[in-house]
Amino acid sequence: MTLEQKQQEIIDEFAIYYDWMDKYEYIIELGKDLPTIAPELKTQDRLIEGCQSKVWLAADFEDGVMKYTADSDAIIAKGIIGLLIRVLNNESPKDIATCDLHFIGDIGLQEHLSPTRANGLASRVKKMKIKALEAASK
Amino acid sequence: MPVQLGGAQTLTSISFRLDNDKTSVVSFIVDGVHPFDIGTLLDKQGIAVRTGHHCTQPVMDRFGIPGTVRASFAFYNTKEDIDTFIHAVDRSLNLLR
Repeated sequence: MTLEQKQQEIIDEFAIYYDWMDKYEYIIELGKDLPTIAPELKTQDRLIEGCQSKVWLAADFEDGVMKYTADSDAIIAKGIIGLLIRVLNNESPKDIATCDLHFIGDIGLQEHLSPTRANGLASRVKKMKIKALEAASK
Repeated sequence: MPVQLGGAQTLTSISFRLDNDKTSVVSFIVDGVHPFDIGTLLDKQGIAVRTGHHCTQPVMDRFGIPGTVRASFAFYNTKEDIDTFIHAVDRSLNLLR
């Protein structure tokens, strides 16, 4: 599945929910389903700034593609980064660095987040792209 | 002292305990649930609260918590508003836990 197809899949999934409480319930379930990361990966250098909640992001570059894992002390933040991981995992650093993550706006997430949470989301996207660029430059 | 807020006695998942019954500010945490998650879901139900450390980071560090949810009631709030708040918290916790 291409990066674009993964975004469209998420857009389709969210389209069946009309009420934002239902959408958040779905995000919460995604957060609960996101695999936990090893405690030793929850280090200060993996902590993403700009979040009211703590989000740790671990990134690996294997066989030409990026592998992300993440965790958070807040379940909604965890669900949101789970969506980002779903779209960006197993993609090349170049595709990750240059992609337009339009699904965030298309599902209405951007406008339904508080300013703090929107800043946190922007920080997470930026961090994932920086990690991809770092991997590509090695 | 245990405080009954409006019709809250009908709910079993929430128990607010206020040490000072002279304030209308209710700052609370729920074990295992991030205050920001509660605040986000309350917002979606039309309830305005403040979440976070309320500029008291040393106190939050002292208690080892990421923050609290803070509901501030004023003279214009009614008992029905309190009931609405309590039910919204209850609904949020049902999703989050």
